Amino acid sequence: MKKGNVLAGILAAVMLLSTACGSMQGTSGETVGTIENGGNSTETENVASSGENGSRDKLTIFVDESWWPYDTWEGAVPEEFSNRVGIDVEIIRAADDNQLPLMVSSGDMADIVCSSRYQFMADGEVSYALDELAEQYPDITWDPDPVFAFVNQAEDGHYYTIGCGFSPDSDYEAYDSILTEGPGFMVRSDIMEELGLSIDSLDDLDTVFAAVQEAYPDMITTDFNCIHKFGWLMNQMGLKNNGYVENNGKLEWYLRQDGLLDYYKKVNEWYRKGYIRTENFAYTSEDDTKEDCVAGQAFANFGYDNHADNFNTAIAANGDDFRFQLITESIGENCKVYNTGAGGRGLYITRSCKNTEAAFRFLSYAYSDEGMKLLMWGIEGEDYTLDEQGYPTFTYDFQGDNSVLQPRGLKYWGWLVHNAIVTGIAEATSTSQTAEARKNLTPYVYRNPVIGLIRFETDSDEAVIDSKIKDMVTNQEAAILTADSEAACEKAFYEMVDLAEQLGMSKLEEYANAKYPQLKAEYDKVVAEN
Amino acid sequence: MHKKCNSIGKQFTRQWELQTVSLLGIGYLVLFSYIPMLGIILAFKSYKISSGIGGIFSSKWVGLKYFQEFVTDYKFCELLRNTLVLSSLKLVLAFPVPILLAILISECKHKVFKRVIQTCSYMPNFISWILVSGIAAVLFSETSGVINQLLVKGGLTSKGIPFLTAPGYFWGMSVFLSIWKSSGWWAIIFLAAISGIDSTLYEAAKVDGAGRLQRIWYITLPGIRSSVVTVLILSIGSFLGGGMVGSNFEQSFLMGNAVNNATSEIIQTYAFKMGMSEGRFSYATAVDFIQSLVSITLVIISNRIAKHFNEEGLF
Repeated sequence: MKKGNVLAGILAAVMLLSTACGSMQGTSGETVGTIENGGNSTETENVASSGENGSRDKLTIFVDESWWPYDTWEGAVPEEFSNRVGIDVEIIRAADDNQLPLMVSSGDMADIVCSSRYQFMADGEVSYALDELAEQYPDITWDPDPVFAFVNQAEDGHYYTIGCGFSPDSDYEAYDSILTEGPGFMVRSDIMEELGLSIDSLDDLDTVFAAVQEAYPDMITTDFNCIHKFGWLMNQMGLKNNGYVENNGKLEWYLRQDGLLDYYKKVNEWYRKGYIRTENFAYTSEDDTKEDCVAGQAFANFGYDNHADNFNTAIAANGDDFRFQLITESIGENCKVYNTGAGGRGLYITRSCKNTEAAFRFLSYAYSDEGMKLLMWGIEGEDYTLDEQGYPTFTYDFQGDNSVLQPRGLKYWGWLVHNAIVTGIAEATSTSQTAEARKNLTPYVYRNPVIGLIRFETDSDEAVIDSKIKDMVTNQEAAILTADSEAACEKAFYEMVDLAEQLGMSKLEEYANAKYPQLKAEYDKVVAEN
Repeated sequence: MHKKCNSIGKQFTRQWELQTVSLLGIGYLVLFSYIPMLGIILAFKSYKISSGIGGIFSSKWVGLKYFQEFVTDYKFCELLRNTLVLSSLKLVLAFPVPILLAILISECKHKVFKRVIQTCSYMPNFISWILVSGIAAVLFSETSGVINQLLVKGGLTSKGIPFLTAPGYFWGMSVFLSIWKSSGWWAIIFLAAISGIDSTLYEAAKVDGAGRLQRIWYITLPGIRSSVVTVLILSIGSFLGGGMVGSNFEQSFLMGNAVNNATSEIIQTYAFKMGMSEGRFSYATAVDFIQSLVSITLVIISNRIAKHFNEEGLF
């Protein structure tokens, strides 16, 4: 018994010691250092901060994207970033979509959360307002364009992040060539050549698919990516695939678009002819289609515009001869690319953050022009050089496979924070298929960030309707596209629109049309003042 | 009274090692099963995830708002139908299989064969549902699945059968996989019950000229009746979760997709989606609460029926 007591005592002491050590680690990370960055300047003025005993601050970042290619802050680029800001980073990549809501509700969050779920994070009870932190830490340079502050503003008047993928109009004017990315469509170049095929119009797709199915009956005629689906086809047909569409100054839910039924009928026709497999509708990972394509099982693929280059790198690494050719020209008569976002995923400093000064310093540099370019493009002089106009030329394949990018931690950390310009000019001088497609697509872009500003508060009536319509459309779309006949496809389409109406589609439109004029006026005013 | 307390105290002191272990179990039950039940009040409140744990108590009361929303939702009938049909099919088709398997194994005279069959039948129970869904994909995939390739190459069908995507196949696949995965495991309980039957009864029946089927009918089945009733009541209690073979949620979650959604989405997956992905915890709690009420009602009814017919019940 005495031995047992002694053992229990030793165990208790060990536990106490380890707890004490843990708490000491926590406090040692709270060393304060300041950093100033040049905002949009390109000159490095940063001084890495470190603790009194030489230790650096440490932050945890939760990336709310389970597909994120990287899960460790490793490689020359992240290390350089850490050196410049004096902060070590531990990454926690989401296991699934459900992790963030649980984290938020339990109040046990990482120091910084990167998420596109604005409705969860842009809340004073969950995150620190960046405008308030700027006041609290005046030594840290924080001077974003007022347009960023406006488009990210929450109901309470504060802004909690800077959503990526957006830039104010004034920034667009600074460059001659800014490319817009989007969905893409690719085909096997060897088979196209062998069968003497070409794609110059949407009608050619029918001819090409029929010819390939006949020549290669065991091959998958076309795959489609589970995220981007047939987005390329929708663009070519001038259709928007979500949210609101402006029609004569009024906003309508996209399900009311003229031509949407024609789109569904076309894809359903391909399905009925056996060009698309039922199984493809059950894919939940982007890797599924990549595997089909890289393994040489699929002739064509509807995905993103960089997939052809990306897949080709993997195919070459496998030692295979075939390649994918991206359809780089706009072949639809009504081609239109909608860009109605006001920023997507962003970094939020959570209320659980133990070192807000370091976190704010991190954001300050990450959102600066210099920090953004470092994370997205790499180290200047090593990974890229800039020409006189400010366009980069890379020393590596920017659209390359992860096996090329990951060792140095290139590109994807930039996706956490990038604005529209950093991605838009990245390939302005490139001759890759991706760049060519983007150049050709850019004239068809319709930009209206005010539509993206119409957001729904969590659990509000509008948010509930929006969520139910999205869920309904996901399931009903599969029924439409896999219908047995054109008549069944049409019937399922009208059922979907009726259901959306029952669920409150008109209420969403009323809500948007009540907000839109005021938001537009405010946005125009902020842009004009800037 | 004082004397009684004293004697309980003395008894506790005498058995303190065992009592400590049982207290740990009770503590575990209270901490992880009873205290979380407080969360049920979320179903009657307008809870926002940003309000954290404290928000459970401080949120505004909204009465039956979320219950009403669920029962008037356009998916309610479909979800209820899917949940009830899937659960009923499992109860009717999967419940007898372990009993039959246990009887077959107990009737098998070849010891090695008996052991091999028993081991092979209960091994799938240790495979997680994520792996089972992976195995199902390899076997039943429309284009690359082994079964479909055999069917197509054997000339039995011109193209692959969409076992995993067509809505019409989902219930059948779920029941089939549940039976394959869980029957062997549950057969152990019935095998234990069979082994407890007095062997002299079989010998006497043999002497009286009873055949094998008669011995099963008149001795084995009555002998395991109480085990069957207990397992049946427990199965009915978890009826909406899939009963004895369970796993309605796992199967619908892992094998459900946009194409077979019309038959694969059940109340549990819907509640999970609403709560976890959409962050609508109050609504999800209300949905699950309705399911719990149905389950409790079913347990009480089945227990009464069992008592009425067999004079045996759980409580």
